[in-house]
Amino acid sequence: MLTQIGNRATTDDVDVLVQDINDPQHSDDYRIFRNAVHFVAHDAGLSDSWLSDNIGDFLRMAGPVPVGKVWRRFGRYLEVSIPPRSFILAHKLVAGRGKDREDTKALLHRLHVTTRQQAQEIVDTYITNKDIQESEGVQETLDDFFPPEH
Amino acid sequence: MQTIRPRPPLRTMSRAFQDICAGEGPWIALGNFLNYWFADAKDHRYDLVSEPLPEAPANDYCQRWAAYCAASVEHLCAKYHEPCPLWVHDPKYVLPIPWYEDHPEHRREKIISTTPEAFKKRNIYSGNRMFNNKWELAEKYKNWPLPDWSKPAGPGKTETMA
Repeated sequence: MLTQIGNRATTDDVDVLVQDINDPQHSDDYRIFRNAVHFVAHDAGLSDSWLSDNIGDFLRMAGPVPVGKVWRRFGRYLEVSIPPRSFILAHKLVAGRGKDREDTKALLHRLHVTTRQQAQEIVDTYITNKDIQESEGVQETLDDFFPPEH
Repeated sequence: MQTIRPRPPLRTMSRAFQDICAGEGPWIALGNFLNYWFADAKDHRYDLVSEPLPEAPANDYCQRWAAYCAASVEHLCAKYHEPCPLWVHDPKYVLPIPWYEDHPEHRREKIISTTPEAFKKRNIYSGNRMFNNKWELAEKYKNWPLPDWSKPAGPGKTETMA
């Protein structure tokens, strides 16, 4: 939301999906990555939670993860990509917390989504696992943004 | 010579409230607290909530968030079996008029019915999803099979186990 929408200046954490590492528990690259996260946290006086990758499996389980657009490269080994805004919106609607409400409004506006059907189509594109849509109460979250039609 | 920095200070609820009143976004401040509650300090959670909130400025905004912080502490302590500090029961943390955050009017009935008791009794109606978090989300789905999305999806539900 900071990098793509710019609707706020700070965040409490950054969620990432680590790619090209199949078995994190036995990967030197993953160990180096986590050490780097810890180093930054220590250097900046932050908690290690400033960058977390523990929702990676959930993202993959929910539906296809789109190829992101390269945002920045850091040296030879680290490349940071950003997913489409519509992917972020779909997952904000799955999360459905109070803390996501302002971000969701900003994304709906930026993506020119004005109807429930348009929002549902975006959810259906990225959250193809209908069980997750149901389990996470996506319809209730949509109710918050799109009043029922009479 | 290596400089040894202290561990980052605990993101207590008291600090979150101070940050909110100082202009930080409420869910950034509460999110920092929740990062500690669910991850960094999950083995000493009482330390995150034992300190009473400082006196709230007299404006409605800070009074509301003071009540929200007190309700959050009571709710989280009950849910995660932590002792609850006494300061949360101060009657000053009961709002004089109901607060529905910014839930639309057509949702109020549902929001009221799902709001936890610790919030309702303080006149705050916010539903029950405010503390959904990635740690418990990952845990909830960790045994679900990872589908192969390279294959075309069939109609209806995917084959997953509840």
